[in-house]
Amino acid sequence: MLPVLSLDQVRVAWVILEKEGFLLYGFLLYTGADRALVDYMKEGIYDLDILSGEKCAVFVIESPSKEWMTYTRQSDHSWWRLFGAGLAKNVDAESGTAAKRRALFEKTFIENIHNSVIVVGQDNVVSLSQILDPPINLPYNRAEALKVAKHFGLGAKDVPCLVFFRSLSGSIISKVPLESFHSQDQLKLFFRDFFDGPDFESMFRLEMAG
Amino acid sequence: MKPTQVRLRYDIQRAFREAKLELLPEELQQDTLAQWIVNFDSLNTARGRELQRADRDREPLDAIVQNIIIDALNPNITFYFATLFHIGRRWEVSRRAAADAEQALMEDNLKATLSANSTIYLQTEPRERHEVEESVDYLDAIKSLLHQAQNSHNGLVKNSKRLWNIWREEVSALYGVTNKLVNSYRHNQPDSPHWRDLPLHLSNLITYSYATGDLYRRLSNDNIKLNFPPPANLLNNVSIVALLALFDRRWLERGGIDPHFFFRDLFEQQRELLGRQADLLERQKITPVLQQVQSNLLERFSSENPFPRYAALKAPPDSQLKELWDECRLPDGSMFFYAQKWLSSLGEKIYFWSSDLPYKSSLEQGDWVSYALSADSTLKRTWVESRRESLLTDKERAQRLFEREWIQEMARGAVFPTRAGKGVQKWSLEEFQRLIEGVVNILNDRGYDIETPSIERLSRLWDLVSSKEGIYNQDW
Repeated sequence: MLPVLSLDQVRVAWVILEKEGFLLYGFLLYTGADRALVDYMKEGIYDLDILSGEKCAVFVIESPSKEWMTYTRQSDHSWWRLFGAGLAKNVDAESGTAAKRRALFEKTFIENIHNSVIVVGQDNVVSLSQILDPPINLPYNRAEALKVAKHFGLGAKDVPCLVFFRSLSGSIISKVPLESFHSQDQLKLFFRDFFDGPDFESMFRLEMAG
Repeated sequence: MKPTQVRLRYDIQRAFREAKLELLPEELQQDTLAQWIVNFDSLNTARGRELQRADRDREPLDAIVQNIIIDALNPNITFYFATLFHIGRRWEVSRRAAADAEQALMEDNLKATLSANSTIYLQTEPRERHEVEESVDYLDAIKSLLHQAQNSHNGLVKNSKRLWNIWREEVSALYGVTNKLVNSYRHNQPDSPHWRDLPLHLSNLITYSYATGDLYRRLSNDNIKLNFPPPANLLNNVSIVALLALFDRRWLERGGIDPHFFFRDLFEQQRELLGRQADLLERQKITPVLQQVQSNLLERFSSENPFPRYAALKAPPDSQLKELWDECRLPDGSMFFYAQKWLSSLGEKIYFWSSDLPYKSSLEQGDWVSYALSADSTLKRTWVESRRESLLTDKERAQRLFEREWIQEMARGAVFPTRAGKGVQKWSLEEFQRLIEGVVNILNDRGYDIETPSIERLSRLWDLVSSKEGIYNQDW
């Protein structure tokens, strides 16, 4: 697993990872509204890291957590060598600021509102944090995620999904739909099953050049 | 959940690049300068196409020149590429979040929000669900939160637009410099007017640096951490260009340029640029240290700001005040804001070099307090700003500063008419002593332990300040 801060970092990382012997690359495409996947990733990222093996790098556009940084540093993970060491200092400083901001916020406003959702229209609900402090590198909402998806030949119904490719110069991708999973447990079982099965094996046989 | 294969219209690398561009505001996507920077992304373009001369008969010197150009362009392009996406994303995300907040503020949506969150509130408050869902207080809290978010995002959009304008101005200048150079380089014909200007365009490009621009300064001041590339090694580049020009004087001769002025201008530009970069880098280096020191001081004084104790006409200055003051001096020479705020709350120091002390035949309570305030402020300002004399006790130091900094200056004002030969001196020595005495009484009531100088000493002072030689360095 390789959390990256933006789509652009995927390209940078790919060039280096290719030399390290990785044969298959993937990325998770989802939005803040895909709650099951968002929640799963908090802990599931470690599971996915092991499941995807040593020849497959799966990118996810997320700010890496402190725990992830410790985990990758201790295991001399490719991610640590690529991004971690450089980011460590900044993340420490930023998380301090975020913690202070949150403390101030909690003092000022209703404590429980952090877990709240905000209704912005019929069947259109976003998390409060999405409105207060949206991450700028992630697609803001489904509409933006779909803009990204479009460039990979994917439509609205295809998000969230896991996309695999062999080479940046290729033009064939393989998509694994994830839209029917509505809980962390379902996702956990699916990923364990998938990465252990023939479908994942077949990804390594994807055409290189496309 | 079977995987399915999808064939893209173009390669995956391009898909990533275009997807990223798509997340920027429309205005940025369409902008020609933005497109120039994005398409310049890889300097292979520069190497391969833009800078390739029309004739393929290239001299070895050209290869060196090309490398210099790439070396000068690379950090600038990378910087403007990174900032384009930072500014654009901040703008777009805030625009969307502000729009969401606006939608959420509509009455129906507010009610729906309260209802959707009632379970959370019920966990902390033993109330009926309908009570929560109909609570005006809760609705107001959500409304206030959304208003704040909306205002904050609108502010960020505004700021992003400002940064975008600066970005365009700077990239436009870089584009102009690069374009002129590329044109000169492409038309490498002895009599071409473009070729004649090559040395000048080259020197303009290698002395162009994002690090001296407004955008870099603003982002650094906002503490925005992007992975900026270090500026090009200007010293090397300028030296190499100078050497090349020396070896291949055709550059200058063809342009009819006097080598003396060319080199002088080039090195002056370089020196100025290096100086500005050094200042910026120094400020950048010191910013985190300043933040850390200020954060430590805030923590140290978390329970109480100690300065108000020494406010005007409150506690007299002592060793502890001096220690506090020294502790609040920040690494860049400025003062921690507690100390700064305290200092500016004091009255100003008095000066009577070219004016007189206004005469009053009888002094009222307000006058006494005003004089005492001036003495107290003068003492405190001098106390923290001057070096501590280790042989003196606090009491002795207060007496000395009171006499030298305040009484002496007041005396200078009182005898001004005599000293300057202007008008009639109204203050008598006895009246002046009474004024001092009144101030001493007020200050001692506030905790000072100072004395009124004897009439003999004041008389000596009176003579010294009235004389043409003045009082410089003399005891009285």
